[in-house]
Amino acid sequence: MKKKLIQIVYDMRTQPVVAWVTIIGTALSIFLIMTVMMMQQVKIISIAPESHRDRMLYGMFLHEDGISSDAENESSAGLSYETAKKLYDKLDGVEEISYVEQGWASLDLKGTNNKKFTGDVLYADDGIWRVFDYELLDGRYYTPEEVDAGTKVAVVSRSTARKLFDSEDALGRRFELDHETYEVIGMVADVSKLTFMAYGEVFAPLDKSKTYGESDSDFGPYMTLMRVKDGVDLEDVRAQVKKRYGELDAEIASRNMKTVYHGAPFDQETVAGGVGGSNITPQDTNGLRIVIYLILLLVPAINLSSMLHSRLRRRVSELGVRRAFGCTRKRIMGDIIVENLIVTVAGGIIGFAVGVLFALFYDGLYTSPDDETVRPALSMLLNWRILLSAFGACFILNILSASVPAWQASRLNPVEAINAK
Amino acid sequence: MSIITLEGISKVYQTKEIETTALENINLSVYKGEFVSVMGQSGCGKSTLLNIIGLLDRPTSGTVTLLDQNCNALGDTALSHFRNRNLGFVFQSFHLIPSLNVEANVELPLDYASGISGVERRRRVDEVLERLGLSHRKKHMPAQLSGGQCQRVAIARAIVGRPSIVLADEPTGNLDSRMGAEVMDLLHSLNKDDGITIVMVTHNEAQARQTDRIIRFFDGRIIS
Repeated sequence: MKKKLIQIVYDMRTQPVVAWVTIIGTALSIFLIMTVMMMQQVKIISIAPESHRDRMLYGMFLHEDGISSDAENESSAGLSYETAKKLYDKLDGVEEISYVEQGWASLDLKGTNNKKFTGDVLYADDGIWRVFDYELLDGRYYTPEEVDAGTKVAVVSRSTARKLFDSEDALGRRFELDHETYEVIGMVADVSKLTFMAYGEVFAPLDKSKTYGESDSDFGPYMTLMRVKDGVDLEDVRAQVKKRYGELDAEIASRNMKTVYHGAPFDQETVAGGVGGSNITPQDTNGLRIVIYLILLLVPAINLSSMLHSRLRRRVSELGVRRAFGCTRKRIMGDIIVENLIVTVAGGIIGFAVGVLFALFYDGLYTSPDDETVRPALSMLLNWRILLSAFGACFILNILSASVPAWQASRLNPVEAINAK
Repeated sequence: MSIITLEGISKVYQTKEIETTALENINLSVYKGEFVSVMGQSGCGKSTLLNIIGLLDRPTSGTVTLLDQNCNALGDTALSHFRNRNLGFVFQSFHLIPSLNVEANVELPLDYASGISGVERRRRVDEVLERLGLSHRKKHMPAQLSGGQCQRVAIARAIVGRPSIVLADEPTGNLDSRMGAEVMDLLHSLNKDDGITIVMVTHNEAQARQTDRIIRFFDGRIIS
């Protein structure tokens, strides 16, 4: 390894332009990859309070259609509380469940300072405190009894407390939420909009009675958040839900209706892919994403490959001498690929650092589901999955850019190589 | 006992337009411990012969047997291992690796050898450098050495793996007469003291006469 580093330093000294263009080119490619990857990964990797995204399932929508083909009463929307219970309550393998209103509501808030502002309110049952890992700074969370009784209590985020009361001393104080008076019983640390399922500035008990249309409608504003037990296959949970869809079919057949199953409940990756609104069918975006990553790597790889080719042209005679003294073709290839990997990783570290700084300080890169710009925290970006992805991208870039020149170098005729000028 | 045996060796370079015969039906035996020089005009096939003996090039026809091993049958990887274990090379232009210091250049063949510990490598390198009077230069880069010193480093590299055969292609061609004489003394010492078989291509009649046997080449054929 020491000799490889010496060789790299020597190359940099003898061909500084080529060496630095290689490093900067690599840095730019990794920066691009990292930017795209981080934008995608922050929606998937576990970030507090969504600390178990890999084990989360979301029951969000219901799609019903007429049994007969001429029926024109197709509907799709969120769930009524009753339907949500029918489909998702007490599933085997689910350790925690919460029923919430879909998305946060931006509502008028007014505190003791009489300043009126709009705050994001998440209406949820008490399960939300167990499904997610909120950081309780003061007070307590609301109880199932308070949810059932519709008690006007709320948990607020620290910054909301400051806005409402010009102080973090919020416990027991009252404020107006959508023209109703609530009492603060707890304060949690601020939640990033990037953790969009757990996000809220105010958390208030869920009113379970809302439906869309008739009071016995299957549709409503609710969804379920489920955390599956460690080691449980998400497909096993889906299989149970699919069976319950069948039971629901039997119930609604009398109305000449049937359900259309779209693979619910969705996992984090599916939800992060943009399922929602009229798009209730998850799109498989993995293939497209891989193609985009490969294109992002392939273009610089071609350039870096020609740079490496240029660096190796100066070493042809040396490669011939190495072959004469017993270096095998495989070893020549391996050595060149490892040397190039060291350069690529050096460029990758620079690219990764620039990518992180860009993500932290450039507005507009990350947006919440309501299209608001969000700046991620450093801890979100320095996740092991993102770091591993960066190294993986360096490795693939290295293989793509070094394979052909290394293979060509290993195939040099030793006699011609030794005598090369 | 023959350590190098060439039987019916021919080498023909074929291009679209022309066919050039570099070697034609060469039969040659070199015995263990011999110091043989190969002479002839430029382009007569001396270096091609050396490359074929060195297993760096394959003959168009004929058989190369080194140390009782028929080398025609060996694949590329086996040839690499064979070269590493049994052959040492000294080139006219030294061909030291410019990015490596003297010590690392000399260690090169041991990098590709299997079963030699780091401690043993360093011991062998120190031993060879000491013998060639280069110990004080071991941290120097090739660019900091004179031509004579470079060729001594190249000889050290050629013998550090303890090969049976050293192939030297005009080893004094780029040196002045004093340094050339020093290098020849060194090669003779390796031949006499260590029993290394040496095949040397040279244009220098005086140096050739100091060797055990002179093989003269003309137009790809041995004439004497």
